Amino acid sequence: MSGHGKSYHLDDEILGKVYDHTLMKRLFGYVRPYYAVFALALFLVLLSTVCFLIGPALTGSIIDIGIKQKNVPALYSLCALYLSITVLSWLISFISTNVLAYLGQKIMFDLKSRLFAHLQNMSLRFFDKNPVGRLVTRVTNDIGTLSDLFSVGLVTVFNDVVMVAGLVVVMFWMDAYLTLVALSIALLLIPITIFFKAKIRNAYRDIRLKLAQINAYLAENIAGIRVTKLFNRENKNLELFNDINDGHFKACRRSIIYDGSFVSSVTILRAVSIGLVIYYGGSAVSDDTIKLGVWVAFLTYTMHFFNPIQDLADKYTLFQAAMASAERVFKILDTPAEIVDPEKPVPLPAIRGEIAFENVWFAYPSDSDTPPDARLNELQFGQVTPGDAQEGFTVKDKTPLYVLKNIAFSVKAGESIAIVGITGSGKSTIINLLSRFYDVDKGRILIDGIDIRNLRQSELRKQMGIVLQDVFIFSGTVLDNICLGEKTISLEKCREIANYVHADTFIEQLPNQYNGSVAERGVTFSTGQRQLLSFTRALAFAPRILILDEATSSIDVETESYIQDAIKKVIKGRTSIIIAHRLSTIKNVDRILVIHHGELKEIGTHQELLDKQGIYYKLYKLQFKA
Amino acid sequence: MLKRFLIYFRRYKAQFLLGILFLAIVDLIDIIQPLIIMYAVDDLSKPNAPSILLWYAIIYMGLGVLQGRGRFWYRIFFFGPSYKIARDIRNELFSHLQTLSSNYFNRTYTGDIMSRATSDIEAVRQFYAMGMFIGADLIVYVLTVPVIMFFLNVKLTLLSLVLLPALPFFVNRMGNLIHNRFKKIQETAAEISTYSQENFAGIRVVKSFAQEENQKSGFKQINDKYVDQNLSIAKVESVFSPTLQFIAAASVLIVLYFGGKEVIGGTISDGTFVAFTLYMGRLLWPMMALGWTISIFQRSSASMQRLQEIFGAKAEIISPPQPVAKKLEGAIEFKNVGLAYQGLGSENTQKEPALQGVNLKIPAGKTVAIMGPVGCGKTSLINLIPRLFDPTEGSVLIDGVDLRQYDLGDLRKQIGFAPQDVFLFSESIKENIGLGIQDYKESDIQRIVTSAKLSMVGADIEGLPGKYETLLGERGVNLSGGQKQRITIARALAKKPKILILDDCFASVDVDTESLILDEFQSVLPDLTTIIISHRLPVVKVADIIVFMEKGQVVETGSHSELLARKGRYADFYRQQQLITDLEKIE
Ligand SMILES: Nc1ncnc2c1ncn2[C@@H]1O[C@H](COP(=O)(O)OP(=O)(O)OP(=O)(O)O)[C@@H](O)[C@H]1O
Ligand SMILES: Nc1ncnc2c1ncn2[C@@H]1O[C@H](COP(=O)(O)OP(=O)(O)OP(=O)(O)O)[C@@H](O)[C@H]1O
Ligand SMILES: [Mg+2]
Ligand SMILES: [Mg+2]
Repeated sequence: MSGHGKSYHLDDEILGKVYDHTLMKRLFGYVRPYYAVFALALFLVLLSTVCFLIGPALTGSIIDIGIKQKNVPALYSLCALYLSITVLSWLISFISTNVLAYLGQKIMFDLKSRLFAHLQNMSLRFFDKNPVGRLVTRVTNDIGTLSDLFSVGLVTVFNDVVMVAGLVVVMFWMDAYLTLVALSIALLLIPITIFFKAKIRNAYRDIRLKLAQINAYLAENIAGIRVTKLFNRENKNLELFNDINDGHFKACRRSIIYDGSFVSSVTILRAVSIGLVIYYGGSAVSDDTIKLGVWVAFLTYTMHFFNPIQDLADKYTLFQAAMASAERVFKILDTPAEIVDPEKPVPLPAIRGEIAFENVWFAYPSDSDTPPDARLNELQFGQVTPGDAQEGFTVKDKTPLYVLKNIAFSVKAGESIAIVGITGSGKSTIINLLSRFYDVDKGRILIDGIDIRNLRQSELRKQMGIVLQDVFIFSGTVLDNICLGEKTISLEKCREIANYVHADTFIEQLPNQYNGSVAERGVTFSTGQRQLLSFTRALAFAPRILILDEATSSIDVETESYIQDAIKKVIKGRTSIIIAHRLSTIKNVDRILVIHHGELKEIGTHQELLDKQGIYYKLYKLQFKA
Repeated sequence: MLKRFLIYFRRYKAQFLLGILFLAIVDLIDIIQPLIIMYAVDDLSKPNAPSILLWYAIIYMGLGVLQGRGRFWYRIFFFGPSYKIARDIRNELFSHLQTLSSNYFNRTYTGDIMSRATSDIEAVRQFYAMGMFIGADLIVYVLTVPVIMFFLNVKLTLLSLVLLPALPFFVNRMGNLIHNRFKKIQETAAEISTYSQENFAGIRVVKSFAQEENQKSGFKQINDKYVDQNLSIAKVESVFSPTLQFIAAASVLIVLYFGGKEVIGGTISDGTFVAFTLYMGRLLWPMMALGWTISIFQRSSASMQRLQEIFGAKAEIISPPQPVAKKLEGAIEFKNVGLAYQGLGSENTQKEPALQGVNLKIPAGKTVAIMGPVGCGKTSLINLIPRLFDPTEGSVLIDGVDLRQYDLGDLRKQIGFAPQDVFLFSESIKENIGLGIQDYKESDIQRIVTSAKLSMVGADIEGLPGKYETLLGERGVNLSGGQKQRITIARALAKKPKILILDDCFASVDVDTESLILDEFQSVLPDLTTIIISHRLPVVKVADIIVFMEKGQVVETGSHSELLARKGRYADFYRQQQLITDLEKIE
């Protein structure tokens, strides 16, 4: 997150017009499963509005019938009626608060789960380009704002609208002339609302944007806190954070200014209306054209008329905030997963484990390939099909920076191969393509003769056990980290595997051993221990294809030599691909692939390559010069 | 905790007081308005009623305009500072977090902190915005309306207030319920944030093990809990607010009934009666307001408690009050050093300390290689030098002075450190290498380029389309493993340190590049105290001293040949590597 506005990540700005109806329609889609509950809520609201409207009329009747006519029994029974309505109101609000909370929470639950699920299907390119904190903001804060809309917003809006309508009807029924006098002024609200709408929305869009930045910044800087300390970056970081935070504050402040002006206009309109009723109504009462009680009731109604409007004004801000969040949430939901399962996936039974790369070309979407901002938004979030998006990035004036060029090789079932090459030559990229984290630009990759694009991603990946170069450990327990969520893997199995790779020594020293707790990213383990853990994880899944990307890079030679034996046992009968810089690591493989600047330069057994006196030979000589 | 609420209030006292002033004006107008109507009702029978009414109407409208303006201003004065407070708390939180030591972050989840920094701060802000505003409103009404009512009619007022004593008991009980339940909700919110944060950060692992479905169901579980907790607080509030309103409505009823009788009996006028009912209506609002303020206050105090948990965490590693100011030579000494890490959560400290009785002298300008098996305490040892951790026993000295006597910033400025866990910021490569540089002068750029070249990553960077301006993704996702590691080496060099520490920084670098880098260091930076942790042989040739560690202890120290001659653990270790090499040579 750079404070200078530039960043590797995709722009998060939402520009352009406000399309509330489409947004609302989509939001209502989430109400649909609960339409019965929603109907009940509306009914209760209607009922409570009626109860509320009866109040002043009753007071009016108490004055006109009970008091003016000095009718004590009538006073008595009207008061009893009042009491029963009060009790009824209590009951209604009790039920409706619960119903509304249920509705809001359920919808929020659905939306949140849906969003999370959708994110699980997004491809890595999406995650490369969106900071973690931003996505967390979408899942937590933005959905939170939306839940306000559903739990209080929608129904109160309905309530208010019903209330206003009810008031107008009652007032007309009481006195049409006075109503016209009182409410003519209220029409002014329409232009005022239109005036403020865009402004308030923009302020809220800004707030959401800044909030996501705050989270992204926090997430990144907490993760990098040690580096910050080591490089005395605290002050600069604080400055950058202050900037973002201040931006958030300013957006919030803008929202209150608009908000305040709106509320203040409503207050003034209300006073003018009441003033008119005092004058015209009062004159009418003194002329005896209307009764005192009616006038009093009418005054009360006029006052009340502006309450829901005031409330609507408040809800209006809530509504704008919710819409600003909804835009962002839907933006993610609308981003198609780039890598999708085929319509009719080829079923993949137990595979043999043949791998073939056929003339594979691949380029990561780099900065210079990224289209200008306008198109960027469109590409990321518009209704483009995955295919188009792919093209948008590659078919550009410049030839893309191919990381892999025309790679072709095949691995027989059960064969083990090693990939070597200097850093940055594209070794990890081969793994990324094989596990379909990214799709190839040209050529194809086959497993057992089937193009991997014809397989279901989960089935493909279930065949593989991968130790990634960047080890990632989850918080939780050691056992959780080995089996992840897979319940089929038993503790016994874990122990056995851990013993294979010598991870058991440190695990068994933990206070709770396999149930010992693990901190975020496993920071309380040494780096080598983390690597052993992720090694154990890969083996525990007993894959047909084992992929080790620098799996032992941080492990000392002694430990590694033990592991070597384990690896030898484990890879027997399994196809395996091993990437390593330490050539001693790959001594047991059948064949070696040498990648140089994205091209497959040499391929053959250790001896063949040495005889060739090419790149491998050079690497080898250098390594053992010491 | 209440103190903390006060601190921020005091900071913006003037604005809040202005806000209260405007609020009071608005409320007073609101309270006067029924009186106008009362007089209007009573004056109806006068002969010149229409012209009097016109005046009343004009006054009413004029007051309304005032009220409208007032509403605008009190919003500015209440909500404005509330956002300022949120901003301040967030800044202070971030600043405080930066002072906390590694121990704290080992026990804390990023997602949890994010949740506190947003959702909890928002709840606290609500106290200053809605909470105080509604609270002040409430007080104005409660102080004035009954007084006016007393003036109008004492008996009726007393009757209407008869239900009031039931309030405190009820409010207190409900308040506690809300507080506790809300705290649970916020905890779960943090759990959701943590879960998703971790999931997104580890998405590669999730995907490569096809764990998406399991992750989804894990997420659903927490989400479910969150829903239940929210519903349970709704249950409290569904009793709370309506009951308060019921009490208010019942009071209105009392007025209607008894007041009505009074009017019939002729003891009070029509106007007074009408005004009374209007005032009762105005008491209805404070009753609702009471419910809200209590709820807002309870929520915000629960959140404040959660923030307080962070603020309450002590920075364990800090500069001394009177630091020794000195340019470092770079002689390092470990004196009987022991380190025992704190356990996680409920677990007690680990049985085995990570370091035990370490004694080691590194003369200035020498190159030291630390070797040893996985988890033997190499990283733990060197982490002590820039004081990422403090030893729990013994002391570490640089140039004969205990580290704890140096200024922390000064000390770290002179140590170039490339940690084992590569971490890059999502900024440009230039900024990553020049981390800590405030604004870039020509000489800084030069240094960045030289450092990159020295670390053999210069060519890689030049090959990128944006060169040094290339922007990195989070944690440098758009670089290869070896490129990331060499950038961290360059970053350590760019500081022009006196002491250079490289923790297993060649793990993802091929061995020939490693040798080249090390050779380069030898010739370019001869007087730098260098500590290198590595599992591989090239480091052996450049090291003056080799330190071999095992199980948290230094078991052997000396030069390569000395150690070989000793035929101890190091010799075994070395031979093993040699053996592997030889084996391959035979093949
Ligand atoms: N996500 C990405 N986006 C853009 N470029 C990338 C990405 N990942 C890798 N690259 C670039 O692709 C090239 C090949 O990277 P790769 O990770 O495959 O190298 P490698 O052979 O595994 O190197 P190492 O041995 O250092 O791990 C590098 O130049 C790198 O900068
Ligand atoms: N923050 C921590 N909290 C608790 N225990 C820790 C912490 N950091 C390390 N340890 C433990 O202390 C021991 C030494 O860890 P250290 O990181 O120093 O090992 P290392 O020698 O650097 O290993 P490697 O070669 O794997 O990097 C290990 O058993 C590790 O699990
Ligand atoms: Mg790699
Ligand atoms: Mg280490």
